[in-house]
Amino acid sequence: MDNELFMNTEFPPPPEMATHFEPPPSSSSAMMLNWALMDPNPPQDSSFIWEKSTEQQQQQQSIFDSALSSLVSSPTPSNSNFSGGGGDGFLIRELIGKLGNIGNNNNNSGEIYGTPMSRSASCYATPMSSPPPPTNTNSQMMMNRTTPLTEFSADPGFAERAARFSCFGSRSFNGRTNTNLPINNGNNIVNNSGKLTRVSSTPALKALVSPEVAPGGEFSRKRKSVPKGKSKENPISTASPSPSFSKTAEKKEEWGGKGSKSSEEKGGKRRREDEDEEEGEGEGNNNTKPPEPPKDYIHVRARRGQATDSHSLAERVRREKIGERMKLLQDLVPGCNKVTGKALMLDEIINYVQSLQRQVEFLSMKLSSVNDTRLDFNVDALVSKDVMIPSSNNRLHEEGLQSKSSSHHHQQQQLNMYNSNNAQLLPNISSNNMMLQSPMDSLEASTLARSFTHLPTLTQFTDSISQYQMFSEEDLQSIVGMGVALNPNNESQHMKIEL
Amino acid sequence: MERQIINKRKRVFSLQPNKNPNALFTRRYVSHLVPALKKINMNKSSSKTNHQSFEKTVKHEVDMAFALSAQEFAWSRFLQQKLLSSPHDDLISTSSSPSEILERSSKKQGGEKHQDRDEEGGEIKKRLKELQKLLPGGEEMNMEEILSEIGSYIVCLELQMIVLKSIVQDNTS
Repeated sequence: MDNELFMNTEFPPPPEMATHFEPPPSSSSAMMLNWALMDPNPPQDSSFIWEKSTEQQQQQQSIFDSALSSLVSSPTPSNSNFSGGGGDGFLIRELIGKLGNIGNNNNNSGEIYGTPMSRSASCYATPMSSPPPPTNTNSQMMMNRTTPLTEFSADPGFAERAARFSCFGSRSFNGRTNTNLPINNGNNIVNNSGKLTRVSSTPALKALVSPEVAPGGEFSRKRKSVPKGKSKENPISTASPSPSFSKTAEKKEEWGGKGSKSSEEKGGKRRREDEDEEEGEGEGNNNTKPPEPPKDYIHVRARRGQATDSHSLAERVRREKIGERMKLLQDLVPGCNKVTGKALMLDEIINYVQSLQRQVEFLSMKLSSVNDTRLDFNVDALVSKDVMIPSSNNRLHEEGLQSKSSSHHHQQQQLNMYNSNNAQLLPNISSNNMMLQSPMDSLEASTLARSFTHLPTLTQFTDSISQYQMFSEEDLQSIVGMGVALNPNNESQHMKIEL
Repeated sequence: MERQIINKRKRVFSLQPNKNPNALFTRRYVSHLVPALKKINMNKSSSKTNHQSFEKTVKHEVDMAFALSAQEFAWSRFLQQKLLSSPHDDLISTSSSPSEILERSSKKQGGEKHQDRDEEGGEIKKRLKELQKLLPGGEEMNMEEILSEIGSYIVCLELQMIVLKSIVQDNTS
């Protein structure tokens, strides 16, 4: 029967939960609540509930919704009890968010959500930073349902649970509908109360998941996402929901790239833990193993038909890293898109860096000459004037001044490009800088304004017009022409221009 | 009419000034360079006006500001060391003292001495060597590090150019 499932999983009865959660007053879901919380031996009513749940999806969802929301709502009056239950409520709230999403999709009537919503909304309000006001309107409910979900997506353990959720969806709960899973999931999560990382580590759960040989790429993909979610090093990492798992850190990204490639190639092969000599994030590769402390190795899957000794694997990892960096550089250096092959690209990069360095030298010389002639180095002039690159169109400058909002997006795109390309520049790069307009003068502001107005002109760097026509000034072009023949490390004397 | 002028004179501020790395670098660079140039200007009138040495000084200051503004990167450390160790005639200590610099740059990933395990063809090796020469500190990095440092180096160079151009333009026009 269904109960066997829970017997197998060997859930320890959650005594903590029992103490924290009082049975909600006089609701039919109370029975379900107790069942969900207590031992795998459910009271007889639960079987009724299970049967009922297998009948209609919508109804079940509402039941589960109300059950779980009452689960959440019951601790509301006694929030102080939320010691280790803080984590519980958190986890449960996620579930509710998830369910709420499902519920939203099914367009349930508002009445079903009426009472639980008010309670759950208030529950959301308490520990969450941005509480939605508890109302009973439909639209508000929809909003309430979705906004906590977006907050949940930042939840660190959410990734794990989402992964596990998807795992269950594909696994041997064949006779079950989807809605059974939340209860199962909720059960698990409720039982592993407060310890977020233990969700993924329940050995019995793993026993469920692991013996299943990956039938196809889909499941292997999910399995891949599970260990990623389990990465112990960053339990509070910036994990976002499953689609963007691999984008948290550069290393993780690399691993994800490798993992996806290899999982597709290997199909149903088991993973091997290769202890590479390179450093990397240790991630539990094998689902059957209990969670290990993070090792300092990258776990690489041996590909089919390739050598599997550690040296060649290390080489492969290295090569892939290098390839990724070359791709980043390709985005950065203009005109590299057409070029294929490492050697040619390196050529382009070298040329570009040389030209940049020469330009800097030229500009510094010009600066010195300007300083020479003009003794008053007018900082105020710097501050008050909005300047522009001579090569840029004048239109851009005016655009930047008057329609900051329209170019803002473009600038943000530009910034995003640089941000995404240079993971080294700063770890947390957000693309949403709030801009405030104020009549204050300051050097920083003008610099920012300048850099923002000029950033669009950096698109010229990425345009595939001729690389060296960045400056329309004639002397600069002559310099570039001169510089091509010269060793860039020459003294600046060689490059003196008559101005 | 007035409104147009007012619009033109408005400044924009970022509420989170340190989040955008480009702006951060630019701001730092300007804050290093402009006072240095001012000092140079002030001192110039007193000392001899040798154009070449003046140029050198300016160049030195430019490079120094560049290196100081990008403390996050290994190449900036190398650049600083190179600048500080190179003999300079008219060295005007407008930048911070070496001890400060060492403090600030203590948190950075340096160029470790790795053996180059390059398996690629000889051409690529050649180019990498050239790249190594270009990048400050490139001699002591292996291929991966060079590639990762070069990206940031390029971006900072571009930003530096923007600033320099704007400064020059300000003073010429």
